[in-house]
Amino acid sequence: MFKIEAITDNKIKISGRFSNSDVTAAEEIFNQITTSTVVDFSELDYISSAGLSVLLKVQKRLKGSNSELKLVKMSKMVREIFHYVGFEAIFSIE
Amino acid sequence: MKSQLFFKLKNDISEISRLADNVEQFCKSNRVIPTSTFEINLVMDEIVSNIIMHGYIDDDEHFIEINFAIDEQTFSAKIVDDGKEFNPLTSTRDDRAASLEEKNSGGLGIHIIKKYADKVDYSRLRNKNILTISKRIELNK
Repeated sequence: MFKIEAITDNKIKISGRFSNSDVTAAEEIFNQITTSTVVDFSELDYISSAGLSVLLKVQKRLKGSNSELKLVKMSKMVREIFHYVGFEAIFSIE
Repeated sequence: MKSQLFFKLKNDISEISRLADNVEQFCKSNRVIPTSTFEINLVMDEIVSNIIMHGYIDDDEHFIEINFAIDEQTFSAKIVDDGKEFNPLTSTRDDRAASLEEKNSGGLGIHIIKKYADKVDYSRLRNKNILTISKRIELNK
């Protein structure tokens, strides 16, 4: 079960499983972001290419206005996917 | 001793959560460790999502047939669909090293399948796509 919450104006938390069936719910929140935002991954168990695509689209849009997504507290397994698809170079991950 | 599971999914993206439930239960009952379960989930999610999102040109209901098998060292799956012909192995685009501007999300799922599955085979038979994958796994003692 995927969940996305806007904690503050510039902090979002995603939890559970982020896959193809969750893209619409995720985009509803992500599309409202206009400035640099921290995304808390601490309770995210899983992400597929559909979730990665949502993040990529937001990052592209934000970088156009010198802002970005900062991804924090990622699990080892999720981090490995980011590494493999070359996303470590385009996101700031802590 | 080989354990097996057969099930069908509709071509509706909400079925992905049922797929995940089946992977979790099958792996759990066969004592597969969490890392291997996670990777099997990813591979199956990418394969089935791709079929549901891009495989059909009509709006009709279709069924995707899935067969899991597992032994002490290997998980394998056979995925059969009646969508348009698509061989994921011939998709060659690789922009993993591309810059943000050049990066495109198309093809990401295929790379994930190739990364986490040890073996992927494709065939087209009687208007059906047949994809088989296998993956070495670790079991809890």
